[in-house]
Amino acid sequence: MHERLENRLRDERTRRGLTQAELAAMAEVSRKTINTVENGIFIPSTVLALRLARALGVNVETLFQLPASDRL
Amino acid sequence: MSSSQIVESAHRFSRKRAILWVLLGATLLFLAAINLLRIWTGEGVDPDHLDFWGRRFAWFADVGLAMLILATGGGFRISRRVRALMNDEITSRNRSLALAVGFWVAMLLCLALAAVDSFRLLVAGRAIMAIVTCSLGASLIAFGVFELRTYRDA
Repeated sequence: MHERLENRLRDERTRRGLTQAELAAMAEVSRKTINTVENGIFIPSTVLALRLARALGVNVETLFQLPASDRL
Repeated sequence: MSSSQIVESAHRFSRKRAILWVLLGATLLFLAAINLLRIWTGEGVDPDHLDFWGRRFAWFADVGLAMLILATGGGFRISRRVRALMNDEITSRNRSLALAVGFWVAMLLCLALAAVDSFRLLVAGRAIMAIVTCSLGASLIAFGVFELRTYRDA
């Protein structure tokens, strides 16, 4: 997981019983995008974060947050 | 084609493409190694040699193909929607990293050849070809490896 971004994408996806491929199809992104974001290898752009949040029907902040030590 | 079929096609083609890039990059590095060996042994360039123009043409074709792949991601016969997924944000990032690898390989090779040139005069054409081939080969291998790494656990 990237130390500068906490993400709950895997939790939210599995809570809905979706596979990476299904979420990728819903968000119109590739499977490797979902995989790398979930594993914290890749920090998504604002557009991608919004797209993932819309596909799951949640706010971006539900999926991605700064770590507690970084918050003001 | 449904969205899930497009995602699966992009996934399959991307993996194959990454493997092909590694193979093409390794081929270029092999050619660069032969060229560096010729530089080391001081073999000159002879335009009157029978296969001189054939070799030059093949080199330009290989290098041109590698540059086209690095610039565009290739896959021109694949549908536009699948290609868009194959060349997504993560691939753009991997391409940037791979180009940086190629740049540093080129810089290091330039320094090495400049050092060798202090002791024996190099044929400029051969040195340029070695630098271009080596840096492109390294970039392609890096691009392929970075892409393959993104498929871990996918």
